[in-house]
Amino acid sequence: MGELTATNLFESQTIFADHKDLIHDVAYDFYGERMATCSSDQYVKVWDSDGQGGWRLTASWKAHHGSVWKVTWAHPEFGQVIATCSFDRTAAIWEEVGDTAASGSEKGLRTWLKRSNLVDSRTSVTDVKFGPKHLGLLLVTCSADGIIRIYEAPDVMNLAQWTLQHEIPTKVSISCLSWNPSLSRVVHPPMLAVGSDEPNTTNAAASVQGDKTTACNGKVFIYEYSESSRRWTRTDCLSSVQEPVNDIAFAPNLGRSFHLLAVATKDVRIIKIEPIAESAGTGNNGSAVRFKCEVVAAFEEHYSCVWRVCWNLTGTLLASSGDDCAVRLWKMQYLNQWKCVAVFKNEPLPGDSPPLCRPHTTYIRMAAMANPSHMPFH
Amino acid sequence: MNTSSFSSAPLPGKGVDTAKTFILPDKCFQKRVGCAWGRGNKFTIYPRSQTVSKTPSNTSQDKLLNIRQDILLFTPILRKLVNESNGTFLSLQKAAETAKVSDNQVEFLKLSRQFRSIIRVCIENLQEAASKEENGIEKNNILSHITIFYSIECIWHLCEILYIDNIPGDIVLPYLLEWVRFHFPCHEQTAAQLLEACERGSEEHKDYWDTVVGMVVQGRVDVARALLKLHSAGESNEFKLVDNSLRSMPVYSVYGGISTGEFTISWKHWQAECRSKLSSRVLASQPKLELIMRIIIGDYTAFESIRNKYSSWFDILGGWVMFTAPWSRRHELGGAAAACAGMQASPRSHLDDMVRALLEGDLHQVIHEIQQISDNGWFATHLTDILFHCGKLNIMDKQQTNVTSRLRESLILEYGCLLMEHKSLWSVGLSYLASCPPEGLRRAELILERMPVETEAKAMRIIAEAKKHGLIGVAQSVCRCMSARHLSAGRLGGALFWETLLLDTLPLLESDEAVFTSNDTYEIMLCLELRSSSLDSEKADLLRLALARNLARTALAEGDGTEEQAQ
Repeated sequence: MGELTATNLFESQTIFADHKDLIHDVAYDFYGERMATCSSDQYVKVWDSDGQGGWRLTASWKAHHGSVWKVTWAHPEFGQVIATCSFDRTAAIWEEVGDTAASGSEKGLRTWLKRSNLVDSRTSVTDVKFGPKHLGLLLVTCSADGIIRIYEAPDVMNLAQWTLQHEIPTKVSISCLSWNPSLSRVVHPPMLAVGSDEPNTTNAAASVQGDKTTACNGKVFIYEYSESSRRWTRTDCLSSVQEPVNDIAFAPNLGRSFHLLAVATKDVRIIKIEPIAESAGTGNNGSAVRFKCEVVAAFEEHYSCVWRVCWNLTGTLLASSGDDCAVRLWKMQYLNQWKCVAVFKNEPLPGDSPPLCRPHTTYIRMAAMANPSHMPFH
Repeated sequence: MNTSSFSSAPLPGKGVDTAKTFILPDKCFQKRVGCAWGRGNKFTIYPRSQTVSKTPSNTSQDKLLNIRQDILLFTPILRKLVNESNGTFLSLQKAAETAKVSDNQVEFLKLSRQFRSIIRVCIENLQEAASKEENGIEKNNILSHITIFYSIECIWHLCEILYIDNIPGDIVLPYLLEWVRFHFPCHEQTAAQLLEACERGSEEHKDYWDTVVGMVVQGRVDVARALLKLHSAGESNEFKLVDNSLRSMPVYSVYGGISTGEFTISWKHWQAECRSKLSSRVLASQPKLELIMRIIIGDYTAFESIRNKYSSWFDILGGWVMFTAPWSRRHELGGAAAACAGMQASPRSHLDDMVRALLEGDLHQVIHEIQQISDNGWFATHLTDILFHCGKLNIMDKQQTNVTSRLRESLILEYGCLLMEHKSLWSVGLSYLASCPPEGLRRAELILERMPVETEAKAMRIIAEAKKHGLIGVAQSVCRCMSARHLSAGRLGGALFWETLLLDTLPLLESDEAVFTSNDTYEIMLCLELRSSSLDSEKADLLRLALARNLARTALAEGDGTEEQAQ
């Protein structure tokens, strides 16, 4: 009888991005067919899937006058639009022009035009994200001086016009943010989570105006939009996260009554945020606690600072990466426990495999490290 | 009924021990890395740093690494398996609906056999492909697929006997023997050759005695007797004595008119006689005949002595049950499995573990084991589903809460999501997700609206499938994205094509029977308001009026209905 589990493998493919400096972010478009990269070389590049598993560079341009931290795609309903943010204190909106439906093979590089430059920040803009599309065309930025800005394009056909709708000071340096993707506006008001990379000192304790809760030393804040007051209010501070936060991501909601938030800090955390039904009519400040928050998982396997957390499309797998140069995949089992299902890392010993010289390579099967116990991806 | 508690749950933080580690090629990254998910099972790893670098770093920092899972089920030759099992899965869901009001076990058995025949056809196709394949690596791949599906069919068959089939009197032996003979045919060809040649002195054949013993162990007593007659000493007293013992063995039949109690008494009497014949040492001159007699009296050492002639303990399981406890009911096989497995210290294979767990009645362990098979969950999903519907699965967590339906649902959801990643199997995947509302539909929504839309035809198919499952939001989203794409390409006509879909709703809204529900109507209204600028005001007003009227009548009709349902 042969080995029944031998074919549970992964394949990998190397792409030479040809950025002249460190890459800071890679973002897929809504369909996963296009990929945008940004780097300290101040360039943004767009790559298109060739349909056979390969990627082709279709655009590359100098987007900022400083390191480009993040790149993000708008919903395709608004066209082919990306936003970038940079150390040069700006965020920018870019739109691809020309026939995007034609397959790229017969065409050369595509043209991306800067539609708008958002210059309100006085410090480095650390993150930028488009809002869930059912809220319209919204964009949120955050900056090192701790100000969250929410912009709106009132006319989705005119990407040159963005109005600054809200400016929310947090008084701590904000490194990352995530929109709650829940589609139900009735059950869940628009919600943002932001993470701070402020060092963990008691002096840094956030005391924000309008915040009724006592000083909280947490590094993750929840903001919600109230239709009645037309304001964004901080409705919670997750006291369970005390160390600087590098990345934060809401899982797709899937119609659940609670939200799952992944946090990259000194470890990988998954936090369950469950809105508590409010007592009648008192509003946000009526009850002291808006959410029941519970750390459902805290994984220390990276043994180092965790840099990124990222959910798959359906929120069943979480990928995390850290200073240990490893990527780990976490999966929720049917009884709601989380479990590591795969680890990707460099060879432990200095290998002498020659670097590949072709710009694009095909997928090759990855070697697995000898490990007596086998655990499939699924 | 199988009840087991979930004991293998890892403690938080311990999970890494079981995870497989993969080596990134080319020593890509020396320091911090980042990661980003693409669609489905694809993600990208990239080197990353938070600090502003003053000097351009070395070139190894500009590589991206795309990683994807290698999915066995997406092999073209397995397409038929995926499609046909989907049909059977859907029939099973219908049968399960019927089973809520009347017993439907016969239908379940039929569908279980259908699944197995699908697997067998798949194995045949693979065997044919393997024989034609000339590339060594490819051939090896196909052979490993054959191993996988062969094991799956073997386990499924045993599962069917133990949990799905309707066995008269619950006496499992004839079924168990059938399973052994089918999956572990041994000496069958030699026996057939010898019988066909029908020559005295067949003991000259080097495998003669192994074949005779093999037939006894497989419970083919008639064949064994016929072979013994071909021995040159077949007419001797010793041979006649063994033949007589084999012939007189009582065989239980539920329609035989005797109770199991009576059968047990007569069988024990028969075995006592055999034992006394053996102890009289009349067979001392014929050690092979003595071995046969020791086997039929259920002598452990006799079975032990022949164990090394077989590749696995499954081969002798049927014989062991036959000559130690032929009255065994189907859930009394754990002891027999332990006895047979213990006869030889050999490394345990994965199949061993699965068969052992199955015979011990630990279905939870079985499902845990079959999830390790690299068939991307095909087997675990379908087997769990059918066992669940047969009411044979009862899995408890630590708090003794029944989590069976959650296990089943999580497997179906996972399998459905996996198929939705395939460019032509996605609608099959959708049907699995749709069978697990509400979460399945929420997942389907996320995946469907992100399906790459290469052509108008593909867009139409997605919209049709979305509508079929009531995912109106997806249909609208796809329409809007197509519109946006045409607009940006400067093809206003194309975009208006999509706008006319709105006007197309007009006749439907005005039809006698309400076509759209009130929710649908709201959605169309929303659509209209978002796109009203592209319709001229007269048409828009007309549509608004029709929508309002439709909303009024559907709201009234549904108001009555939902109140009734709520009771």
